[in-house]
Amino acid sequence: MAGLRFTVLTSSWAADGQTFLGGPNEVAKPSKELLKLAAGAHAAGDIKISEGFDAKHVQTQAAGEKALAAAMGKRVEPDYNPDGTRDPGRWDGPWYEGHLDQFIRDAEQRLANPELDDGTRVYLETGVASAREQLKKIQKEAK
Amino acid sequence: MSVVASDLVEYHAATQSDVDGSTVGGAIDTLRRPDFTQVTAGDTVEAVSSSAGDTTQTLTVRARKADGTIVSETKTMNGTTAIVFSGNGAVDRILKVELSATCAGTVTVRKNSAGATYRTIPVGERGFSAVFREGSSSTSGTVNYYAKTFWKNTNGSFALLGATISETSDPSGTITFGLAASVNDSGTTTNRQTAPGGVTFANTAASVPGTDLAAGAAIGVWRNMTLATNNAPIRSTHTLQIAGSTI
Repeated sequence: MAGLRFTVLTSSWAADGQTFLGGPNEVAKPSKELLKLAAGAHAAGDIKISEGFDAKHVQTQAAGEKALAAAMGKRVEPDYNPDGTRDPGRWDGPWYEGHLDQFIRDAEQRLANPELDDGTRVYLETGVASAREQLKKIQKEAK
Repeated sequence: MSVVASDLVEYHAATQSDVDGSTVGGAIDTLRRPDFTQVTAGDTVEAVSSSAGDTTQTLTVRARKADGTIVSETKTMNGTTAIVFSGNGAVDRILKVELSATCAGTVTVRKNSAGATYRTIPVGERGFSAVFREGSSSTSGTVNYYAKTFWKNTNGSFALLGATISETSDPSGTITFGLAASVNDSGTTTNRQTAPGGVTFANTAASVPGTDLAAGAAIGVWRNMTLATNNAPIRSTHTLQIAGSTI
């Protein structure tokens, strides 16, 4: 197996039970696990591999965008209700549940600011209520 | 209401920068979001997926420790069993979290053990990071940093009418913002200390060019952080909001 040569771009990089200090590093006989972890860290920009980079462990941006599109699924817009209103639409893929969960966290973080103006507060509270409703429906459908 | 608040999502631009000397900006990166969550100083970080099958992807956590050093650790996901970034140990700030590939489940990054959630990575996305990170003030004058994000209308069918971007929180008082000249742009600046051309920075609300933000469209937003001479370390947040009307 080829060696692994890399530069740690932070003060230290930990992987596979080892800690490598910032600067040049070399592992003559890296484990398969270390090679994989190094590829991930290289893609994240935390180390720079000069020898031993195994690209198969890292998804390209293009492949990632394709995977995201698949994870979002299709946009579903409901029909108008008898009273003329319309419930919010949604994406029907698995991305949507995690997205709503994170939206609620972000909104609640903002709502914790006591200096938030009233208009923004109402906007966010309405948004959170709507997101919680949608999450409930998604989780109910999943059961 | 057709466009709801959760349809409006902030994402990073293609090229962020932790270092001086690299191009910053570009087109939207829908795989990565900016994060403003502060961890409780001294936390150790862990991550877990909602899918048992997520056992091949790696997750890299880059963080700043209380002594100022920047550490990084990479671990392989272990499905619904949490992985603990004990190599990084207790951290003061999370700077960046990055998956090597998309996961089948939602990945939760939280305080060890099974503690408060810092952020989740929805299925299909790859991570999150702080907007301004690893910059420093100077002993001999002010320093300006620039970073770009996008607000996207992820609603697949309806436009956000009369869209505006406004600032809702700037506790450090160091940040102004300005919009790209057109939606869906890919403009860059030479490096993170060079102002992008054609962008006017202020703290006041700005209208999206073209008035409406169409379904699926995104508007680039540049932030400018100005650090005073010998500025104290900043561990803070900055939030923008996009608003408009909808049918």
